[in-house]
Amino acid sequence: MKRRSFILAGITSGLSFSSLKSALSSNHIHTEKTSNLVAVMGGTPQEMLIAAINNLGGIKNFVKPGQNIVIKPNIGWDRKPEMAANTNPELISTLIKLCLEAGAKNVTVFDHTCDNWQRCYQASGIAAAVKAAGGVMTPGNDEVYYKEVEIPQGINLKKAKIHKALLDADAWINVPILKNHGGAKMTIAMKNYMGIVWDRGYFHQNDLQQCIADICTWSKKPVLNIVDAYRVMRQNGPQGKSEADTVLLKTLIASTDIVAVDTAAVKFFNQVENMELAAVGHLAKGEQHKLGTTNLDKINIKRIKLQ
Amino acid sequence: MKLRPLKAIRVLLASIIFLFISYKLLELNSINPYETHVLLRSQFIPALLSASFLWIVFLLALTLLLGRVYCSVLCPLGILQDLFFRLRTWRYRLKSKKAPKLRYIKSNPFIRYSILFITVLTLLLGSTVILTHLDPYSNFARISSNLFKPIIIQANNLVAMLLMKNDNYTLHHISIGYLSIFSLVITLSVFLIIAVIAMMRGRLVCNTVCPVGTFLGIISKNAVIRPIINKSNCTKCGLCETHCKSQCIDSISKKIDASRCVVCMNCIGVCKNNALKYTLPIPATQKIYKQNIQQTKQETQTPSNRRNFIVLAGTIVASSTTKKLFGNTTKIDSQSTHPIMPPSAGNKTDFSYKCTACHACITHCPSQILKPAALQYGIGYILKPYVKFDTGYCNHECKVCIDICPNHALKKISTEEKKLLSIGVAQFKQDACIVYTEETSCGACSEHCPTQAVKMVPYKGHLTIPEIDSSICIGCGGCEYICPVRPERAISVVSAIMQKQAKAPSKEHKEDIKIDDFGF
Repeated sequence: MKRRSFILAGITSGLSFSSLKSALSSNHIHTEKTSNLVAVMGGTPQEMLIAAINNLGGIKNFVKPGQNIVIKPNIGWDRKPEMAANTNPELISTLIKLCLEAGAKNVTVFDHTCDNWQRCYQASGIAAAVKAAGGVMTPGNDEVYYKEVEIPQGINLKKAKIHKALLDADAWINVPILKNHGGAKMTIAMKNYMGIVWDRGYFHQNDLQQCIADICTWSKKPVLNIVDAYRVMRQNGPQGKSEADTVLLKTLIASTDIVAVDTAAVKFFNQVENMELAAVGHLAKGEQHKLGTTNLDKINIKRIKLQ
Repeated sequence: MKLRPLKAIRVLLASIIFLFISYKLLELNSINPYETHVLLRSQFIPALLSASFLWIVFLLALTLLLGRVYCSVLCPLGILQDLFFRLRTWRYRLKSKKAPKLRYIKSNPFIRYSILFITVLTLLLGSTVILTHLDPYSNFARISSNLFKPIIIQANNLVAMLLMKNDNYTLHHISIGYLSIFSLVITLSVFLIIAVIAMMRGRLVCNTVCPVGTFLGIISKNAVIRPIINKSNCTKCGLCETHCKSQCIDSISKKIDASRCVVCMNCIGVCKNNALKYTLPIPATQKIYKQNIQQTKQETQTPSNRRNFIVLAGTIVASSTTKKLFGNTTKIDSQSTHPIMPPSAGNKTDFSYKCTACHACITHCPSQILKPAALQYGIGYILKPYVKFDTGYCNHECKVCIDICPNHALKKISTEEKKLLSIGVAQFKQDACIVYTEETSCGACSEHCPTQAVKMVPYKGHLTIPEIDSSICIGCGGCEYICPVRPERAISVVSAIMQKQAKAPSKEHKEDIKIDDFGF
């Protein structure tokens, strides 16, 4: 664990100040050719994130100097990174560094975890990654951290208690991991919203798929959705029993369109395990809410294969 | 006033140990408890119940050599009483009055030995029903957990709130989920009684009620080194007597009741005539020492000290090995009256025998799912921990309760063993399930199931519904905790009468899947 995080910190800090800076400075040239959705394959989480951000016009498109930024990974489970139950820590630390280099005042990271939050933060490697990258890890497992807001466009969900860090943030980035999910079928970017609310029981009581789509209509939308598919949990999700449930796919998909990014991720996942778009009910419901499109032909997609 | 080095040493050692034990019981970070659990096992009853006989022998030898050092230095309840005794002096000082002096009182051997006898007898018969309420360590730990820890948590929350307003998340808010009115009332009553008695009468509790104190007192009567009055020098001024918080120095007849003396060293050094010393009975005092013993023997008319000691030591040691005498005859409880016990408790009979309800597991459980029982599981289970899944569930990788249990009532096992240990079995009522009643997706139970004993299987259309494989269910309660159905949940855990290892979930080989395309 310690060696891991040390190596990780070393890699990220070493690379971020050399390759990351040059990568960032070079992106200004390409900014005119931006895409709506970028999919990258075949690199480390850091390489893929940098490639994706560059193709989306650079981090400055999303993060402005002086802003308070929240990064919302999936840290739901007391599982090691090898189990692919939580977002990749290297991805999170790279993203924090990008935000800070773009001039963000603070970068805060939290999740309303399922397992004990301290164990999740630690086991996932995210606490160490955030600390090394200069971000702040905030607890999210007590009602005192949440405040009720209206969800005017919600059909079943009219109001929800959302984490104060997010309410106070100037912008937030949604960074889920791609996983199979016993109940919601898939958990990607839209389902990751369940980690920003306090009362998840209400979701399950009042049509889970509809509530997932409803919460995504909350007025403060993420400036970017980055789906981590470096290691993917293909079965027994969202927690997983063993590493046999995971597969190393070395992929990352990013888009401002939350429905499109999830649609692309489901189609990508479908190559490993059979998964119909229709089964992931919240996608169609999200489209009805005009949150984005499930028709990937409508948008400009950039596919990058590293190596 | 003369320097009193022995007292200074006692106060210093006692303070250090008191602070360490209190810290261990009150610590807020329970995710990675430091390996200081051993401190709790330095206590007499935990050492006895966890069969740490070497330590017991050490404590007995220590008492035989130096007297009841245990009571003055190692016992946190004793030190707590000393704090209250000191408060009394301060209180009077505030009123600019002198505290009424304590004087010698006769011991009450009938009450003392009766309580010890009953405690040992019940222990031999396989029950800690009396010991749970008399053990000084458990009482101190309960006072810490039920009364002091909530105050510390509130203080933490206040500071955490202030820090949070300045974007500082070093501390975090903690909810208090473990408290119960029943346990609070009992503990508060005990605390008040002990505090008041300590303020008025010093170590009266230790010398009347405490079975450990009485037991060690039998040995300390013959301690090699102990406070001794040199009768020829003594002027019966009574100064030492008024300094004794055990009220065991009789300055009129120039005697010290060594069975009640907790060697607090308050008397040592106060004598203006150098007549009182903590020492070996040296030849000059030998005669008086012998007279002393003879007098004590005649007056108290207790059986031979040595015989007494051997019998008691023998019975107590035997009790922890032959406790099944009574245990086996108790009938097996029905499931409704059977608590879900913390992992590695085994069965109810064994567990309630070894647990003295110190609540260390209850306050250290990161998920706060352990609660002190009231009367619902019988008198023998009062204040002992049971599992309730309404605010959390047993974290798969966590075994903090097992690690901290000083009595080894929760037997030491590895994390891998704990991950397969079944403390109960989930039961599913399909006609209450949301997937069945509302025909919408849910799967919260399966999502939380670490072994996938609860698995979502095809139902109608794209819907999936839970199915349980009892053979691999460990009863962690993840499913029960998260089930959104109210008032009665659609899935809940039923206690295991006898905790045992569940079948390991089937092992699958990692498939090497390669993908070259994005698929969209």
